[in-house]
Amino acid sequence: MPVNRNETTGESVYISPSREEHEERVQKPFYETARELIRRNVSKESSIIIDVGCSDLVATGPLIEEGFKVVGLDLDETAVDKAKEFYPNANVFVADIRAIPLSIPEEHQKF
Amino acid sequence: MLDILEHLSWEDAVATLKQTKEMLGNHKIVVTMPNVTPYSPYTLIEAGTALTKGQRPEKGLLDKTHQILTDLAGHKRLFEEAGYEVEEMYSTSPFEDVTGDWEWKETRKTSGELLEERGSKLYKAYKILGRKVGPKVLATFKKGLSEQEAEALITSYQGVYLIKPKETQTAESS
Repeated sequence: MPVNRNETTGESVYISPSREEHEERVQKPFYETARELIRRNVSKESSIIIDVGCSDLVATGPLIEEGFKVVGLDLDETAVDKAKEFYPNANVFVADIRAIPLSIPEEHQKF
Repeated sequence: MLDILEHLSWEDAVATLKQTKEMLGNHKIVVTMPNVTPYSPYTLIEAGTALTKGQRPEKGLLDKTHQILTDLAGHKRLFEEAGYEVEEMYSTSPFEDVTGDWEWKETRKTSGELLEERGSKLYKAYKILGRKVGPKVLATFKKGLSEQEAEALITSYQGVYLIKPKETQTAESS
């Protein structure tokens, strides 16, 4: 994902892309390869894809549009806001996978 | 976990995978990670340093936030250390033709051979960058490449994997 390092804290920082930049990155071959792996191994009906460190859903956003159930998790609030902007129907949350139960409360489900 | 693990230290990446295994039970993970093949890490760091006048670039393989720089065999070792096995793998590098019968240990040799076969300018790049070179040599070399080709040198080629928890063997009772 597009990140930079905060020179003071040393933490990685998300760089907000424009919609055009986002759509360009979506087409990167390794993302398409990853999506193809998912299409072949995941059932649209009975499986949930958890995109850990989803950024702005650059990899799995197109899968949402194809009807897959995706839950995106990212520590970076700006990235999650961008994901919601690019994919309004997405289930995407600011979260640390190490600290949450892996079930999504019904009121937050958009499936 | 797409473009995630390389931002962690090796130990944290292993710990994250182990923790995921404990939380999810029966599952599979799609992982993408940058692949340093066919260049040696030392050469890449030198090239990256020269290209950016003392700093690692903001993007590409040498992205300054990347903590794990390794090749396909290194990725496999990371997964195995965390208790996973590779079910499927692919490489987006133009230097490798990866199939299900991939010979992990021959990564570098195969890369060079493929490049030579294709006779591309990037083969020239491979031959030059395959040796330890200084900034002057690199600057000279860059003049012979288009901007796009020079960019390719710091492009992050990826290993793409489908991994699953390794089946644990139950110890036979004696």
